[in-house]
Amino acid sequence: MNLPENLATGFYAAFSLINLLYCFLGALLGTLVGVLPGIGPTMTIALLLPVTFTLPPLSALIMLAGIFYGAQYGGSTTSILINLPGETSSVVTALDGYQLARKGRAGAALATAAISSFVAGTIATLIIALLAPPLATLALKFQAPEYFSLMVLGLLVSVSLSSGSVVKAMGATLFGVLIGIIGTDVTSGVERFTLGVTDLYDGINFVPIAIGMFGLAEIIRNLGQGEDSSRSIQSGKLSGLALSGRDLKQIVGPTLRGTGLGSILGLLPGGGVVLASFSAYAVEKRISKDPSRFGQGALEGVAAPESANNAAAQTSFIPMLTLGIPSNAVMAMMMGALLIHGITPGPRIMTEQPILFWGLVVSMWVGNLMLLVLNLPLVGLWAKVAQVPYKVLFPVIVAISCVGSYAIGLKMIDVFMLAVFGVVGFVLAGLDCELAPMLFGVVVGPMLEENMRRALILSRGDPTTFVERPISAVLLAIAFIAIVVAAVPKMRKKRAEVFSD
Amino acid sequence: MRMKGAYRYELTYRRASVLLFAALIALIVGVQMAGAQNIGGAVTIVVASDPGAAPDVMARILSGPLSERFGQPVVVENRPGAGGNIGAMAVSKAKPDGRTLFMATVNMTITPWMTKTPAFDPAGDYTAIGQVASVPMVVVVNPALGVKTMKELVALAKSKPGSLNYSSPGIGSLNHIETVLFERATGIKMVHVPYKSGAAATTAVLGKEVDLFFAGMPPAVPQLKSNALLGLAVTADKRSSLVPAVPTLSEAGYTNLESDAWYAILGPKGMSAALVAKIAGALKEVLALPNVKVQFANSGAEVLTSAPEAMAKLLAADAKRYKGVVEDLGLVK
Repeated sequence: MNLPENLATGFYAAFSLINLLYCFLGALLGTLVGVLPGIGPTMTIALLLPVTFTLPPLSALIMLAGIFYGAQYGGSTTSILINLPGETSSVVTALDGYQLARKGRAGAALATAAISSFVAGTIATLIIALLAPPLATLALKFQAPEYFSLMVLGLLVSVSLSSGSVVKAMGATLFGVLIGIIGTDVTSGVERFTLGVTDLYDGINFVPIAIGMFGLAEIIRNLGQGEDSSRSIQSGKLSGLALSGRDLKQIVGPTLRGTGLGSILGLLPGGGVVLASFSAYAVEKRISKDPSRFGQGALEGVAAPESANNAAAQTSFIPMLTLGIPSNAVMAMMMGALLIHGITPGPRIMTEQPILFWGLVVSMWVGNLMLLVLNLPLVGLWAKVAQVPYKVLFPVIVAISCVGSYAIGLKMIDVFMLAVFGVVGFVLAGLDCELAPMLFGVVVGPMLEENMRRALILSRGDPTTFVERPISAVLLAIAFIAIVVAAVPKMRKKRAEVFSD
Repeated sequence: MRMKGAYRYELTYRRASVLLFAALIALIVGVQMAGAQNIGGAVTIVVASDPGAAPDVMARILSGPLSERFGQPVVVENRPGAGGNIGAMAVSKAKPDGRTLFMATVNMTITPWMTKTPAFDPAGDYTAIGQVASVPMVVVVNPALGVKTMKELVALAKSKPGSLNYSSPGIGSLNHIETVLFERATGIKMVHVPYKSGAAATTAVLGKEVDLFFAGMPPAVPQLKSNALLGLAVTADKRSSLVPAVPTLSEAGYTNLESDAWYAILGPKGMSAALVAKIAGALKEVLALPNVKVQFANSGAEVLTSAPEAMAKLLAADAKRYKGVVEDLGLVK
């Protein structure tokens, strides 16, 4: 494979004036859409799909791709400023990002998000350029038993997402799993916990749960404290927007680790940006020298998930382009757009459509650069939101959340769920229960069950399938080691020491 | 002096704005009254699937040219959920003024029968306007399975009963039902592994997780074209122009198993005949456009038009047929 030549082809195609314009348009739209909670890249791309029928295929792809990864950039903005995740992948960013905003360091948090996203985007683009075909075949090796083991590992790791009692974390995760189970079971077609409500047939949408539990609960809590509501979220002065040298050194490691994890998880169909951001945060917390800083405003807690979700967004293109397998709804639409233009994604796309493939790859990097340039100067402006008097801010947040929830499927049930989970989030937080493990349970629980049952159907009920297959066995072994490490008395004592300060 | 002039100005201003307001009211009322014959406002095509799925893509392909012919904006609204029931129910409750249309698929004649009380009546709650496409299914296998024809597949299944696995986008989907009917007709026994979508079910064959899939064309097209998957037969009564090398089920030796996944435009019940004729006419023109045909074809669908009466008959016939099949297969919950 002649990389310099391919990259040259790509640069030539991506840097044409018209493609640069579409790249910018897509990135800008994506950022705006990412900022708004509930309204996401899926909807935007769906709306713009007919427009792309008349565009040349490369320009269409460039714009749509820009919307997708642009949304990952934008989603972190509201997460950090008002504890309202703009995109589901930015839920975890809110954990530390919002705390940083409250301490007057919103600028630093936003800048960290932008920079780590850019680094992740650059590295992920390189990964695509060098490793697309072998990575795609790796993705195919992940089948039901492997997914199950990955989910088990994920759930165990999610317990470490919380800093408090392990029992409470497990309880929260289990509660999340139960919420996630609501709906129709894929394997048997039976409706579970839907109470006969048709709108719950497919379960509760994740977006109202996340926005409600994070954003609305926070509003209820703030108002309930009875403080003067003409104050703003931010206590204290707005400190410098730039990142100090020490800050930068702090975020290098998390960014790189998040990129690695995100790149791999983005490949797996059904894995994706949400899993990537949660896992990166949990891993970072696990290996940190001082895990108690997480949740109080640690820059690593912003850098890791942001780099992971951006890397995952980019590598999720690989299965779609090289195998014709869409990993998520956005990829499904892009594939639809490609097919309409008469281009068939598949193993031969790199040789049959080099200009398209390499042009897209290069323009992804260009888009990331544009987003960095777009977002960094705006950081100062965005950070001022944290200084808006609360009595003006919170009605706007509530209104946007309701509209965003309704916009998902034009059903009132999503708005009701928003309200319900706002209360649930308030109660849980009041009980000192962490929200992140619960949300992780909502996402991972159903996938765990679906894959376990599928694996058992395929093995005709033989449970050894989970340990017979190498990848699955390795994942389960890591999970087992994780439990042992947490349970060994020596480790346990050290853990208590750490958490007692 | 100045006040008098100001007063005159104000009077003129108020008169003008009253007149303007009255004209606006008259216009709105007039437009509404004309609605019975013409479409008096933006048209919504409801699609009961997520964005990016085949019916959604097709609705969007049609929306541009249709909006030119209606002289009104045509918007696609996604109402996914409950196997397509949510979208279907939304349309059945809408006003029959031509402003709400439904991009229906044959699934709507299957899903209502799966619950004891049907959520809607596929034949009775809708006005048929016309079929737009036919999307046959194609039986795909992984080349590593070692079979090259349907007969070889059946032979393999007979030699190892209960060992072959097949995927589907869900229990009660057309793909699942068609596979079960095929099993019954040939006397073979395979194991069903449901997935959440056609794409996931296709990936399963690609990754060798399952052995075969009665796939809808759209997710299978890229794999067939790149030869990652092998197509053994199409379930239509003639070969698909997208994969001309794949024989039909009849040609492969299995007759009376054809199943056509039709896509059609329907409206709520009670639409006036004049309105139906107008929309059907516009639809026919749009479907004859060469670029629409190409775009449909690239997405795996063959344009197939029919008159409103023919579509109504097809709708009623399929509703009756699949009611029987669902009850027969014991899929009622």
